[in-house]
Amino acid sequence: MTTVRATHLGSYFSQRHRIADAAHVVSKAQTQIASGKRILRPADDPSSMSRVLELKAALRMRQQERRNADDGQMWVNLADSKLQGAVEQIQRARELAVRAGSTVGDTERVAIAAEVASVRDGLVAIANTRHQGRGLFAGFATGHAVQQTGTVWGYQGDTGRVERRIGESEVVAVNVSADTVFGFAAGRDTFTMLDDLEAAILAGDVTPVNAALADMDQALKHVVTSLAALGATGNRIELGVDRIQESTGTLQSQLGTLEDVDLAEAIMHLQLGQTQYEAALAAFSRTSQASLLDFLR
Amino acid sequence: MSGFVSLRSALSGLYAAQAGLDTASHNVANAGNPAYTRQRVHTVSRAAAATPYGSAGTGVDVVAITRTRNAFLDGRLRSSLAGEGRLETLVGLLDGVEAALAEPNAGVTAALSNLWAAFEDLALDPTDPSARLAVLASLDSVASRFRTIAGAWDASATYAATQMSSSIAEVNGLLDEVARLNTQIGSISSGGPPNDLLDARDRALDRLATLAGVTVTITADGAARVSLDGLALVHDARTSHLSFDPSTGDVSHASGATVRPGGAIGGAHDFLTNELPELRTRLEALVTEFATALNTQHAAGFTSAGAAGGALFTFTPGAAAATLALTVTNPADIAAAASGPPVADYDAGNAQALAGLRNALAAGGGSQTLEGATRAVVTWVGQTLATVDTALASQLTVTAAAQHARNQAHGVGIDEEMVDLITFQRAYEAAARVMTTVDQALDTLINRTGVVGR
Repeated sequence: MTTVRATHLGSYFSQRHRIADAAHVVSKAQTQIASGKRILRPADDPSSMSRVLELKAALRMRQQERRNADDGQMWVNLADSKLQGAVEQIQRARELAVRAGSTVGDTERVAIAAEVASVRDGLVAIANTRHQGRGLFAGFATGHAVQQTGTVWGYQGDTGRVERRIGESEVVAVNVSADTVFGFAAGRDTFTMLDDLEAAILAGDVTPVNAALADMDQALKHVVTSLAALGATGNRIELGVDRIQESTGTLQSQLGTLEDVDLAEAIMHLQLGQTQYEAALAAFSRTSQASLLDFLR
Repeated sequence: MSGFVSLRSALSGLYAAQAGLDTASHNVANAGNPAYTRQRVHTVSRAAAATPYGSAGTGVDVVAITRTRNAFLDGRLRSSLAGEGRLETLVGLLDGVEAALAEPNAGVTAALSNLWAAFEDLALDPTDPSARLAVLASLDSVASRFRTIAGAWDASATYAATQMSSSIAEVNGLLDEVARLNTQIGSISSGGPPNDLLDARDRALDRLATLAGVTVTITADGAARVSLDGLALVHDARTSHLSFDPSTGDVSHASGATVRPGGAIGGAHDFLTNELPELRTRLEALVTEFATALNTQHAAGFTSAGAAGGALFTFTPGAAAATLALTVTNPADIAAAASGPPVADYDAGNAQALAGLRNALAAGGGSQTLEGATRAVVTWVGQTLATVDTALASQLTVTAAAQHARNQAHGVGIDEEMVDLITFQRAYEAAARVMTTVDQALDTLINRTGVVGR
């Protein structure tokens, strides 16, 4: 038998096959459009999926770096504003020293000495500023950064560097310690200088009062140096944040290219699939209607 | 020699037309039965009788009603069915393996990213109890993801073994059926081939191909021989059953030899002996390297109480993914500090170092990061499934073509049967007409002869 026979089940099976194929195309396009994703599982495109996972991990890291940077910026901003205050206080102490150096009356001297004492207390309060439950200038230590034991001022913190990772391999230290800010590390601390100044003013001794001017300049230098360091750190963090944002944008667009469905293309596929599906259905209904039976009586 | 011969040949014509009508009716009745093969009536003209004026035809005989079966198309379809059965089973099983990974959104890769972030959050403030709790939760989440995957893969293995053993039970049943049909078919020696028994046997052989990819040969005397790897499963009326060892996934022949079936059983067997062990080895290596890297780095740090950090995870070597468990339950026992004792409260050096493991080449024997190795496992699963999926799609097309070709040859065409019906109806009417004509002729001879002059 060489003629091609059209059998009842044969044509039914092949039509069913064609209808199922068309329905599959439609359902795949529908899933892609509804989810907005081109690849929904690893088998859809294994190598792209690997890259998608890598990009997602990198995005998660940028998110964390942004958190780290924001946290670091808070440390730097707070320390900066506190140290600006310290600069004002020390300048005030210097003015007071200048005034006490000229001839003044006893009552005024006592008042000036009291103000010097309050400047010192203000600076102690600044040195012991707390941030997130810990000393802003105390390194890793929990307690006060600066404390007076008897008549001796001492730095109670440690040399711990509070580090924040703001890029793949960029780590910045966001703290400065009272040790350097207030001259403990340099051997003569600001608080002892102010104690000495207060004592000299009360004693009416002009020479040590004049000598204290150099002390104040030295104290100011320590604070300003730390401020400059903080400013540089702040800049690095800002640059870091810019980089994080830029990198996040790039990663997201790469992820989109890999993962997101091209809507125009998907809709075109859907329409093609629908046309194919409807054609298969129509063909089935037409061909299954015609039969020799209709023409026999 | 006379009209009586013509009556007999007209009668044979009636019988032949009757057989044709019966067969067409049987065909139409089975038009929707996929296992049915269209039947045809074979007729031969009867031996002629010698007469003085030559040989005269004496009618028609129905010699047989046969199936329009084509053994080549059977063979082609059965080998496609075996391939399809194997790939379909593999795709089903690997689908489950892939789903267990829950990538890209809820898998190990996401849990690992969250873990590194949690360590960095802890580094921001190591005294924050909520940051410590978050680290514990993230560690546990990674461990439980690994355990879930191992559990789901074990479930896939159990499912594959169950599928194999029930398919093998079905195969053994089918082998018995084929042997029984062989006996029945052999015992019918006269009256043409037992078409409907042959159809039943072919249906059983198709199913055997789908399940086990067996080889079928039909002997000259019509018995079906079924074999696998050259070992006989059905030899005439004798059967050799297959047996299955769930612990090894091996299938053996009644003779004791191990056989490699194709079809659905072969798919499950491949999964149990190739794909799954490979995946388990990769996962085992990944989990071991992950746990070892974290344990080592954690042990290098100090807890807030000043004690050296112990191991974060325990696991049983050989079943690392299934047994991976977090040993640290107290948030204060996380060794966040890098130096000690005494431990500075805000020392978060080790938390930072633990977060830094993200970039460490701790996996793949020192060639990959942990995330890279995880992605490699995901890609391997995806690649394996995609390959099998593509093969299945093309196999389905091949099977559909083979099925279509066989349906075209074996199936019933309604129009064709209608034409046959009319042909045989007319033949029947014509034979009946011949009888009437002969009857009238005889009537003339018997009743009208010799009445002249009466």
